[in-house]
Amino acid sequence: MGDFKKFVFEDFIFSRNLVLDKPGIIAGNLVNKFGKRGVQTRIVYLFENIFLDLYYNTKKEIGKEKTDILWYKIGKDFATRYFLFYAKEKFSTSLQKPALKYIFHFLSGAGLTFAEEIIGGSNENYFSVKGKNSLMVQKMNSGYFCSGILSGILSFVYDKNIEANCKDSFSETNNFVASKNFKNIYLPNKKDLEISEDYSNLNFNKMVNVEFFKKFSSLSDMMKFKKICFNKKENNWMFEDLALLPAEVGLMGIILNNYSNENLSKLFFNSCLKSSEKIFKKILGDKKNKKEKINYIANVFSSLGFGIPMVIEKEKKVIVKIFNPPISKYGSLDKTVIFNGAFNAAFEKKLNLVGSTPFKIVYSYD
Amino acid sequence: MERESFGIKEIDSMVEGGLPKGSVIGISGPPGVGKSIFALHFLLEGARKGQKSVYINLEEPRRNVDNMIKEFDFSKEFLEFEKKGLIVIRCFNYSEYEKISLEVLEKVYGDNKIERVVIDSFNCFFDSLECNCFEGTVNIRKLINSSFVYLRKNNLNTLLVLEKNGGKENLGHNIPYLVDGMINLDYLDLGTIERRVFIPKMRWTNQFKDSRGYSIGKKGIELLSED
Repeated sequence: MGDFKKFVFEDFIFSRNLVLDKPGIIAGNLVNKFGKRGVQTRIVYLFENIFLDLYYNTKKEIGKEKTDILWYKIGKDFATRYFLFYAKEKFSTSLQKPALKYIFHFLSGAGLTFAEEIIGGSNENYFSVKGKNSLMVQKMNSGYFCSGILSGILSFVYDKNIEANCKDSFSETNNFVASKNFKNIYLPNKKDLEISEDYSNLNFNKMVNVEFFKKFSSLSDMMKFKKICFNKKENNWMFEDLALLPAEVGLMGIILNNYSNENLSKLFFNSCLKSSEKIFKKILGDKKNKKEKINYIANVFSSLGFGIPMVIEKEKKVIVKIFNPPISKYGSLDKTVIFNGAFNAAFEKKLNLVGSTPFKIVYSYD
Repeated sequence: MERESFGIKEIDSMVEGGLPKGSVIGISGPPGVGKSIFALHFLLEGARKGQKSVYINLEEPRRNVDNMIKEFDFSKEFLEFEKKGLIVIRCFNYSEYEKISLEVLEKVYGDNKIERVVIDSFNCFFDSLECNCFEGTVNIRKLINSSFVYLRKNNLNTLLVLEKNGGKENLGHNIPYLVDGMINLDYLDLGTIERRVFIPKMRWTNQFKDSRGYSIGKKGIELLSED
């Protein structure tokens, strides 16, 4: 990248991405060099196995081809929403290629390492993108989710619809291709994906700050104690030996939305519930004491950015009050189902959802 | 460089064999994490080597210190060394120590047989003296610096227990800058307590950069296998 472009891009526009974390809250904050406050996003760290199980269960239900298209749409929506946070205006021609390089470098920090080399881009006719294989692509045995992300990124940067395809995702490296001449697969509805006006207010300005919350773990606490780490070899965030995907809070909502559009919301909830329960049974290990298990789960959720859950069991009901929850316009059912699985594992019972808001979830059991 | 063992061999291996001889090491952490127990290992190791060791406790009365020692398998050996005069335990409250602190350190300095000193806790005493005036702050700084002057004489191996006060990260009074090394003990309460030891600073040493997990049991502090 030439010095001037490097200056404009790295030093002026996207100079710093700060990750602010405290118990229950993880915020990404892109700030430019001259101190002008950038955009804060509320981030949660999600277990990759939830996506993988969902993909495989969907494949069983509706077949590989339809599942791949569904996940392509999810990837493209995810990327489009990301850009709606950060870039309201078109990128000028001279900044398009440096922008791509920077964006893919940035994504690799989240474990999406599929684009280390970008060939093409002088016009939008053809791009070839190569990189190390991301864990999710390997495990899904499908590059459609990442193709969708690539398509979303290229479409936004070049301000034209550019579809992408994964040529090879079964080895150690990925090879994606993209072109504006490829047949249209999917056009995201930007209005649906737009960030709500009260996003910042709900996620950051109305936070409750109580001394007691310091008792709970933050992301950096878990990293200090080696529960969460960045695996350099796999280029992935890990909670012990479980892969994590850091994502803006809207991702699960986007997935649920796309599943609902295909009348697959029941599949979504059943799959996520089972995965979450399996994951948390593994995390809890051989802990026997219920209080210990609940405390541990609360700390895990707190460190992954899900807010601080306080759990009360009363009259065959389990009430989970969540302080400083991550909030998106997609509601809370997507996160509620992950809590459900976790507390099923802790209580060793099937908890049934009675009702939920972002701040409170009520489950009952027999 | 000549080194002295801390009394916990895995801690020694994190710092090339032990603390540099004659250095002043701070051991910090929140309440209940094992700092005083660490100090017991340090004193016991000195006594085993025939070094006279002094334990100045400013937090607890003598009976509490005895109760702490008796929890561990090494208590019999520890108390035998005390009978022989190789370990000297002195307990003061803050107001007593305020009057005699430099006198105590002068005695320690004057006794050539003393090779190890533990002050538990070092920073809270100075916090108790703090007053909202410039002169008060200057006097406290002078007292701290005078303490360090005595501790650095005669090649004393010193361990200063530093309490992290009420969740405050700052140990106060620039003490972390004055000491030659810092050992941090910390814990995470995840339903069960997970403890780790970090060594962020050790002058003249290529210390282990990572942290190690540890537990507290009948044998005192034991580092966990990283496998």
